[in-house]
Amino acid sequence: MPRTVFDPTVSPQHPAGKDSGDDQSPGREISPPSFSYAPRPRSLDGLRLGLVENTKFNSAVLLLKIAERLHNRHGMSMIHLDRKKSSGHSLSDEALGLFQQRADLVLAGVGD
Amino acid sequence: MNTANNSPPASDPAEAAAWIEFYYRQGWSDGLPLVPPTEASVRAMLNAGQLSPEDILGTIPERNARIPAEKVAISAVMAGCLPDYFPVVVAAVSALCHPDFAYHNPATSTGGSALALIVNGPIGPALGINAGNNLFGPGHRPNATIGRALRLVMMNVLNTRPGLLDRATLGHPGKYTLCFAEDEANTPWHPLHIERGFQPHDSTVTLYASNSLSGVYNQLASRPEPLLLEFADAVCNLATPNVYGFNQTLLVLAGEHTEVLAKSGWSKRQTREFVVQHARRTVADFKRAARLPGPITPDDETTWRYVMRRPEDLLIVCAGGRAGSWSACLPGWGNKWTRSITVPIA
Repeated sequence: MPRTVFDPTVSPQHPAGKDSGDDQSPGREISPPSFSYAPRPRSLDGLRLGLVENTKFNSAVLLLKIAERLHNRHGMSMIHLDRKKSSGHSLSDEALGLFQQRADLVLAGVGD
Repeated sequence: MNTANNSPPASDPAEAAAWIEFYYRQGWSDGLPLVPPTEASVRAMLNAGQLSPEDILGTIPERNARIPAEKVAISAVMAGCLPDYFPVVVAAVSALCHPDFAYHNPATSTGGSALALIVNGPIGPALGINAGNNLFGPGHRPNATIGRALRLVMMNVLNTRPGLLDRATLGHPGKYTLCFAEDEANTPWHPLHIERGFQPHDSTVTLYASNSLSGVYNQLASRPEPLLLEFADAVCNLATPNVYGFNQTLLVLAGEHTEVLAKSGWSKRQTREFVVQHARRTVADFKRAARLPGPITPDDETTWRYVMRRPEDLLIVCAGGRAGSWSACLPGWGNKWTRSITVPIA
């Protein structure tokens, strides 16, 4: 039978693939990978807003409506709406750079 | 029966069961028991693929993920693969990472597609990959474990986990495994891999994002036209997600249906064109079913929407039992960015 725990996951804890902790018994527990979020703004007032439209039906309509409300309530300004290639593609490097330079907050992720 | 091969192993089954329970607790399983990997079994997989543990088999930029060979080998052992199957698993992983497959789309979608693996070439019979009776059913180790290994890679390396980065509304039974070979000995035409530029002696795997399978039954058709009209109807029902005309569709021709087409003398291209031309509904049909927005206009009654734009969007594979009047339609998942990918098996 196995003497080593072969971890099939790729995680920050075990990037090399094999968990080489001292306890190799099947009774031991492996901690799940951890994630951290980007810092959240304390206030929305006056922030510059970026929008990522993912091509889902009515995605742009919904995002623009949210942007309008954020403008009315918090004085936020929309600096750019970027349309992705598809919902499953990454943001382009160009759009990412633009948002990094000019936006304080980016809205994305419209679903079905 | 008391031959050496049928003797039970000397190790304690309780220990194996403890390891299996351990894997469940880690959340590494697809719901079925995982085979406990050992140094020797993981090494045997890597050797079969002529790979080092640290080799990277591909990347998925949208997941910020790299796929190390060792993880794939671990997954293959856990899935129950024999080392001889590993080159197929490796090829499937490379297809998964092809930009034209756009992995993050079908893997994440509420549409919940299964990723079908179609094996062509000599490796299919050599490994005993089922291409015949009960094609999509149980009972064949390579069919069961090769597809399962790919799913374990998706879950454990690419975080394609239900509720996390797999957002399927219903899922698909084929998400456990959906792997089969083409029955090249009985196809009247060039098999899939030759159509895609490979040689008969090449072995390939084609990765295809498949929505739910529907059976196509016809016991009376003796000519291609009525049979193919039925295929076209199965492709373009109002419930299909594919109303925008840029999807691929897979037809698996089986049993007597293959014979009907073989005897007719129709070419594969002719067959494909007929189905594509007839797989259509009017805009009015779609609007009545609220599959397209807006009021119905008089023009909508005579304006056609085709499910596929080009004949090559229809994949035709011959497989399944030789008896019976059944074939299958497997509509493709989703959008124009996800295309089926055929890669060679090393």
